[in-house]
Amino acid sequence: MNDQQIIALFQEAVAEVDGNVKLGEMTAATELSSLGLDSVMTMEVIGVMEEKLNVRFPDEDLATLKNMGDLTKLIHRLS
Amino acid sequence: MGSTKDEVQVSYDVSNEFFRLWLDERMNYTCGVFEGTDNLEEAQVKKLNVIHDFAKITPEKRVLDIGCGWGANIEFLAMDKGVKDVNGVTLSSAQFEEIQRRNVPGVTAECVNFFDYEPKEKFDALTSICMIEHVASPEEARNGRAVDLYRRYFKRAHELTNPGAYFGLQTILRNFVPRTKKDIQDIGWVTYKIFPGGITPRMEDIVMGVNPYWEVVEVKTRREDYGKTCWHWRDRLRKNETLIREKWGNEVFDDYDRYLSTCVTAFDKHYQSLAQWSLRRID
Repeated sequence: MNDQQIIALFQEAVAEVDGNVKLGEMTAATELSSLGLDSVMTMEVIGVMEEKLNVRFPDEDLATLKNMGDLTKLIHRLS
Repeated sequence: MGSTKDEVQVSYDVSNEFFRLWLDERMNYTCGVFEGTDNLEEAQVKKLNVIHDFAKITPEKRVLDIGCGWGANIEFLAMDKGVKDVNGVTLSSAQFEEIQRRNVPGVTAECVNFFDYEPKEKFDALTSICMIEHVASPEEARNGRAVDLYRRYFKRAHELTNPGAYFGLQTILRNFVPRTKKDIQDIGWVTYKIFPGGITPRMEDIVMGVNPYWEVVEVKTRREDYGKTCWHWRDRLRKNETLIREKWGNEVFDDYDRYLSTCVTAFDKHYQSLAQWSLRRID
């Protein structure tokens, strides 16, 4: 799975959690804090992604995520 | 730092009579050990035996129980194990009153913050059953201060002991954050409404925090035991629903039912676990 596919998967997960959220164009530099997701929603999105990817993200890694690039690196590391 | 006296009052001073309705007869408000039994009373005695053994307590040792609750462990040590010099500290006024009411020979207690406690003599053994959850607040944990605060706690424990001391410790563990909205909200609600000012530690935080004061000799996790304990508590709470609603109001019953249900789920889904630790003083 390449970075673009991971970003697309993230967008799908957000839509699944809350169809009203409009994300717009996203790149590796997109800050997670700029997406308008609260902390509960973020964990729900993470849960959906874990299910789709069949992986489990350690909490300590999640705490360090700043942007989409961090998320793609984490997924590559765990895959 | 951690829970203040006012916050402790929220958690433990609802009413001694209220807690007596759904805890075991000695009022242990911590995980029991369901090895070879499904009975809550027996499970709590087994837990007290584990902590006693982990702290290598003998009758002649001077013992301190940090966060002694309503006195279940100190009463057990004095009455069942024949320990002659048993001491406890609690920050809860209601718990302290109950200890005074029990008036167990050989037991001394103080209503004081552990960090302000100044005993006349040092101790040969320590126990602490689920008090460390009050040492760091959620905000402090979020800001990366938890390990420093736990280390301060273990340093103080070290200062209060004689060389050769053992420490029987029991802690709830924070394993991972839920991924569903309901579970996240329920755990957040329990943290802020039922146990304000406190947060359960992560296992690695304890491992780091004990250094350089205590050596981890043995650790046993008991996630399923805590799930069962909470199930028993909720079962007893529900059996007393009418009385609780009449005496303490609907909000108290509904809050405690939600809290205990959240705990049953949290242990079942691995969000939380429990660990019992045998620590040896680094002299």
